[in-house]
Formats: sequence, structure tokens, C-alpha cells
Amino acid sequence: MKRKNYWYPVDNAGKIFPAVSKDSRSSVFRLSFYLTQNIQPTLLEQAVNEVLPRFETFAVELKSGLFWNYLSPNKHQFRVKSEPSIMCKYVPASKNYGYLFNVYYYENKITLETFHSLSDGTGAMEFLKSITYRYCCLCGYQMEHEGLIRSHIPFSSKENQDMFCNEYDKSKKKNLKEEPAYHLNGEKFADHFSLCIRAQVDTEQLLTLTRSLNVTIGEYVTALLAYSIYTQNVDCRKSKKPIKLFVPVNLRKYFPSNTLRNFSLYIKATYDPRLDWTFESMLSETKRQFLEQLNKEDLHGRINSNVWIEKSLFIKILPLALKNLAFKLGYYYLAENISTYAISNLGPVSLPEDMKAFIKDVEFSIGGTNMAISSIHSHTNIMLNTEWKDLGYISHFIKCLVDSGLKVNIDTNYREGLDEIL
Amino acid sequence: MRYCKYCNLHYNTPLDHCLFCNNELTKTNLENSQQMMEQTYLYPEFQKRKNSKRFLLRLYTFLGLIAIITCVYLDLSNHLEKGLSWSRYVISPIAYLLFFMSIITSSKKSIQKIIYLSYLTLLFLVYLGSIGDSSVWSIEFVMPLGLISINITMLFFLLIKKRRHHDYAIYSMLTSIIGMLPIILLFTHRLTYTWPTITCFLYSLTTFLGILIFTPEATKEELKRRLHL
Repeated sequence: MKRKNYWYPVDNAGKIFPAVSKDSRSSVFRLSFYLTQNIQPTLLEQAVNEVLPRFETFAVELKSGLFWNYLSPNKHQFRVKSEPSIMCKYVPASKNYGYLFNVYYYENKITLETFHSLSDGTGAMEFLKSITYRYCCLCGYQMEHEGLIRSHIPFSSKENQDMFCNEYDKSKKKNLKEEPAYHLNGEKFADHFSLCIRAQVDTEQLLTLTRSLNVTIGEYVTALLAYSIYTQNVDCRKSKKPIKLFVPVNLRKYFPSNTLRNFSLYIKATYDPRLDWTFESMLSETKRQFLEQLNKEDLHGRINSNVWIEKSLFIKILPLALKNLAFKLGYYYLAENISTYAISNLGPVSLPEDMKAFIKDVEFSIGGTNMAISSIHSHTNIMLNTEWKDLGYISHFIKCLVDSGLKVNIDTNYREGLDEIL
Repeated sequence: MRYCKYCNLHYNTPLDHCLFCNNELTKTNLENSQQMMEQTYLYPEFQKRKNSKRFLLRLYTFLGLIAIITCVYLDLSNHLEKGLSWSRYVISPIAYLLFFMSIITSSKKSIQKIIYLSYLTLLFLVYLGSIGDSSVWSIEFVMPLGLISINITMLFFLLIKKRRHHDYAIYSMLTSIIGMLPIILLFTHRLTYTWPTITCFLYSLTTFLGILIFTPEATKEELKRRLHL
């Protein structure tokens, strides 16, 4: 039965974002489906409003308590909008009827942009799949959901669980101390514009390539990007700070759960730029580091350390206004300052057979200066976003893909003459 | 589909030049008229935003700071030993307007803006009274009557906005608690006119108890949420 008076504390991973988000750091990620025909906004809005009550964790607004923010039911009618030109744009909740996500339409594309306090990529994809499925039904198509559309599966309270707290075991903590990382620098685009370059490659070709090197797609892409930064950024080799690439890991694979809330944690690949690296040496180092960190015990230790901070009495009783100040400092020293770049791999998107015919493509983007990977049908989209005007490392990354024998199709939000106004 | 023969890249986007080498893109053999029609931009065109609100706020801040520094200098240069005198009448409205504009342009909810602006205005009036010869009108009349007005406004919202009852109950409780505070002045200062302060206290206490008694469950639930650790 549908509940009316539910509420949730913001989950452990999402607690920091309301305090640190702004125009230049939106904490928003984007998921899009490209359909076979142009979108009808009225039907899309109807689809969202029909699906939304099923997704309790999305039908919420953020409220401030004395000690913590929390999520409370939002009963406003949801409005879809035409897609803005800035990807993963920061939209204050007050300008969106309190909702922490946006649904946009553009030509044949449905886009869901979600604030990270609500959910991670896996949870948001479930929501987008349900919206798109309902939209296709409203367009008059008959489809079988095959148990892959969450809105057609009976509600379970497990979907709303804060898995970080569920898995918390204070006796198994791990040291989270991190050293500062090398940062990309140069001139940024104006107006917080994030240039996106989408490299589309054949999944089978990419898998053949990575299998021949005895690595996973994630390891290959991470090593290649690190190598591109290492070779193309002149100041990098002189830097004492290491190149650190952060790779979010979907914890549902290690701690079985069907939660729609945040349940991911990063692992990192670290490279000392003062050493003499070749791509091969970076690849084997990446593989070694991934193997070392990608195990349940290590991930559990990091969950425990993160939750321990939230559970400590001193932090608990600190008023929210002071916590927000602490979050801002903490985010700089424990997140922004220690990361060079982030790479997120959503993996292949599973859709019901009937629905596949209507979905041409999928897109995943984290905005800012990050990389996001998603796969559908027989191709993989590697989305490179950058706020920096210097495209040297991206150019090198794509050149390496081409040189490896992959056919690369480029899509971008760049248009001729854009550099004159940015 | 376009193609860059130098970078060996295929472009789905109808660009004329390669993004990486800036060489002209060639049309592939596969490209026929239908594909040309299909090839469109996947993203909307970037349009530069005009942020006139932010510019005006910055301009006002700049001019305000210049005015404040000038006034303080002129005031202190004449009566350094007495400290600030007339310049306080210039500084306070400038500062008030600055805070006023930053609250108006912030991304807070409308109700929060109303609360912040009400208290800011009240604070400004009380300060204005305190720097004059007599603070009686501001401390003994403006402050308690202003607090009553804010309480009445919140109660009005509480009664008409049934959908957001839980939120407004908490806001009303908070404004009621603040409304009870001036009673302290009754014990610590010699007030000439005590009735406004006593009225304010009694009204706030009545509102507070009324909310507690008439909406106990909803308020308790909302309090639990707001105070969760």
C-alpha cells in the first residue's frame, strides 16, 4: 500500500551534497534514453506523474532539520522541461517545486538529471526505465515488462533502505587518509559550461581488445585516461602530487540489495607522475590496484569508516549550520583535493525485449570534468565531459582508441563558433 | 556521417571541422540525402545567460562599501574620540538593503524568505532606534509588536496552507519561541511601557500552546524529523 507520511534521513553518501552544491559543482548526474521518435512533452509529464508515486525515494523534497537534512514526501505535480544547454546543471530545489531531479525532453531524447543526495546511477536508471516504459505505453505500444521495470514490480521497503547504515560494523574500520592529487588546470569555459565528447565504440570490438590485454573495460579505460593525462599535461610530470583517478563501484554486486538509494563507493587508481610510465606499465599497475581494492572486506572497511563519522556523537549533535561548514571544508580536503578525475561505468543497460525496439541509445554523464560509460544494444558510449578548454588529453585518449583498431563515432554538444562566446 | 581523415574519426554531429585537429570534415560515401536529414545535433544549442540580478547585487555591494568607507572616514576624522555617530544612520540602511537583496535573490523557499526578511527588518528598526537619543519606541514598541506581527503571519500561513501544515507548524512554533524572548527585558531592564512586551509574550505563549494542543500528532512527527540525530 502506498504510504503518505514517510520520511528518510539522507543516506550516508548523499549527506554532503546539499551543503557543497552550487553552480560550479552541481552534484547532478544525467541519464538519457534516445527513442525512435520525437518526444511528446504532455505524455512524458503524464508518465512521470504516474510513475513517481511508486518511487518513494524520488517523490521527496529536501528539508533542513536542526542536526541533519532529511527527505520528506513531495506532493506537487511534477513538470517536465525542455533540455537546457548546460549538462548536469545545478537547479535549486526551490525552482523545481522542491524536487531533486529533473526530467527533460529534446527531440527524441528523454533525460533524467538526478541530484546525488537522492540516488546513484543504478537507482536512477531504474526510475528512468520506468518513466520511459510508461511513456511508450502511453504512446500506444503494448509491451511486456519481463520483470525488468521496477514500477511493475510490487513495492518492497528494501528499496528504500540506507544500505550504508545496514552494513555498518564499527569494529571493522579502514583508514581513509588520502594525500592531495594532481589537478587539471588551465582556462575553463564560461558559465559553467561542460563540453561533452561522446565516443561511441562497438562493445564486441572493445571487449576483444581488453580481453587480448587480459584486463576489464574499466581497467583499460582508467589506464588509458591516466596515460593521456600523464603524457599531455606538461606540468603533470613535474608535479609531486600523484594522478588519482576515482572509480565508483556499485556495491550492490558485493552486498546484495535492490535499494534505489545511494549504494556506491569509489576505488582509486594512483600513479606517481615522476616515474617513467608506459601505457603497458600503467595498465598492469591499474589492474594490480583494482584487484587489491575490489574485494568485499576492503569495501566494507571503507563503508564502516564513512558511516562511523556520521555516527560519532560529536558530529551528531553539531547543529546543521556548523555541519554544513564542516562539509564544505571536508569536501575540499577529502574529495575534491584528492581526486584528479572520476570515471564511472554504468555497464550494460538491461531492457525488456519489446522495449529495446523503441530505444536507440543510452547516455550517462556526470557533468563537470569526468568520464561516464554506458552500454546498450551492441555499442558502448564513453562520455568525456570537460570544463577545461585544453582538450589535449581527451584528443590523446580518443586517438589511442582509434589506434587500437576501434571504429570511433563522435557526438558532441560543441557547435561551430561556440568557442567565441565561451 | 562526417569523417576526419587525419584523426580517423567518424562524426554523427553535423560539424564542419574536426574538434581535435580543426581540419575540414569530409562526407562519407555512406552519406545519402536521408542520412543527411537524420543527422542532427543531439544537444540543444548553448545560449549565453544574462545574469543581470547577480550583476546588480555586485554593483550595489561595491557602491555600498564605498559609501560606508567614505562615511566612516568622514565621521571618524571629525570626532575620532567619540566614535561613530551620524555615519551609523548611513551604514545601517545600506547593510540592511544588502542583506535584503541577498535574501531575495537566494534560492530559499518563499516562506523562509518571508521569515528572514521579517526578522531582518525588525532587527534594522530596533538598531535604528537604539542609535538615536531614545530607544523606547524601538525596544518597547517596535520589537514586541513586530514579533506579534510575524507570529500572526505564520499562523495565517499555518491556517491557509493545509498541505504544508507540518512545516508551518514548526515555523510557527519557532517564531512563537522567539516572540517569548523579549520578556527577559522585563526582568533585566526598566521598561517604561511594559504592556507591549507582556502582550507579545502572552500571544506567543498562546500560539505555542495552541499549536501543541491542536495539532499534537503532526507536530510531534515533524519535530521528530527535524530533531533526528
